[in-house]
Amino acid sequence: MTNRECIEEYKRVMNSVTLPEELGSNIIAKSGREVLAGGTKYIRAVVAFSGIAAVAAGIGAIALLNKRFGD
Amino acid sequence: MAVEKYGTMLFRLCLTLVKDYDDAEDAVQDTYIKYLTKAPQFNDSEHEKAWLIRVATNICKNMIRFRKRNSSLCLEEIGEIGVSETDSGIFEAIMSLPAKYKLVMDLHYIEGYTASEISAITGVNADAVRKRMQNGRKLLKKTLEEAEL
Repeated sequence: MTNRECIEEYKRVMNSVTLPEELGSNIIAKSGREVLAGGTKYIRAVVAFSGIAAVAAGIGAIALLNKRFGD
Repeated sequence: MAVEKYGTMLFRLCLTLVKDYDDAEDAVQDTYIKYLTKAPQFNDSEHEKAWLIRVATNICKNMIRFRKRNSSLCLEEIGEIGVSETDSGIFEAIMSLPAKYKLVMDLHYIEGYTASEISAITGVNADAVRKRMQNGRKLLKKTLEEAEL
């Protein structure tokens, strides 16, 4: 077997490898779900942080008002 | 979409590196998740392709590092990826080559990259790429000759 024949054989067999259609669809679906899940987590974190910040600001405001007008 | 355009190329590359159908699927999937979440800006399609190859290669290297096991494809899986039963022996022989040789050979002979382009994609010195190609060719010839016997 010559080097050229060897490479041609390699190319022929490797070029026959294809991504099965079902696998391609699975990959698209799974990747989409993962990205969406990541996005949802991010939104949840932002909402949670905003909620905590709003509560903290409310408590702070009440404390200030109490200090000023309490007595 | 990039999955349709580069899916087969990435799957073949990952399969030659990790030698396992499910791991190759995971590697391609992780590559696309990175592609979708990072949403990098590309100058052209070649830049995009090179980025995907680099990311997929790194994911496969990490997989090999963490999942040290002797993976292999069963005959049924070989049929699923398009390799005929008569070529399964040759395919198995190719799969048995070391990953570092298969990577450069796949990028050169199948994807048509030059040694310097492979060097830029993989971060391996261009001379080392040429050497790996030379050694890979020798080993492939020996392996194929043995597989034919």
